[in-house]
Amino acid sequence: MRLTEIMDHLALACGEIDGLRVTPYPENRVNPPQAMVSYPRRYSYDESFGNGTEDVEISVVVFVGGRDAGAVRDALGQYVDGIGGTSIKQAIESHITTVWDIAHVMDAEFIIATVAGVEYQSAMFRVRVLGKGK
Amino acid sequence: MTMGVVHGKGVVVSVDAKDLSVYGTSCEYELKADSHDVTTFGNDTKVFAGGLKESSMKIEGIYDDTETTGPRAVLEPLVGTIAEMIYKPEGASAGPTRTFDALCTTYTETAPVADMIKFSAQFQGSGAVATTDPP
Repeated sequence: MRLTEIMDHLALACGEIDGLRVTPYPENRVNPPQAMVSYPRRYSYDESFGNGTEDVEISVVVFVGGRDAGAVRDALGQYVDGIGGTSIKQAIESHITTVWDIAHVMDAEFIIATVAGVEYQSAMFRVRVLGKGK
Repeated sequence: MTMGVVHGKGVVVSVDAKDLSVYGTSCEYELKADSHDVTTFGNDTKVFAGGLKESSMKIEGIYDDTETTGPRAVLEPLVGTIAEMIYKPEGASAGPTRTFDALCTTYTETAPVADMIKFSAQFQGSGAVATTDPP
């Protein structure tokens, strides 16, 4: 696998969700609602003999904004749902590509993220990507 | 020639002329012999003689549905049949090559809800193991 292609295709997958802006790399500005693909927390080689399998744990962070707390909750909730047209999990796991063998959205963690001095309610999706090492 | 510890990441394992290395995560090769008690009167400790040898092999790895050459496609049809096993613990271009006929006795798939499907296969050696070392 190639890291740049993994990040590009995670962004492509999330980009299938109507109205969600996507960035295939971390950057220091946010225009919510926006999904931003982070660098992997872990990129593991040699998961099978001859580096046949690589195992990558990578995050996609979705930032939302809103007039009030209820609007923020509603905005974020639609992306966290396990199924549906706005589901990050469904968008990534149904994305068809030769870049990886399988991508599994394992969980979502809710965080207040500060970007360029502005706080955003966000959800960080942990994605496990497995594919050929060669 | 440098001698020393060897990492397992370069293991090559082939079954029935299909290279399964890229799917494998663990191999367990065993060569053992029967032990016969030949202790006679007058001995204070037991005495043993070696008997027939036997080999076995266990391969574990990540399940893959690749047609023809993936582990399921290769291993499942082999259960109950004998196939050629080639095992190179130090990699394709170093160390010994062990070649032997082996009876596939078990093919197992394990599917946990929160992880990849895994496979394993167990083989019983049939006949001698030929071991060759690179020149």
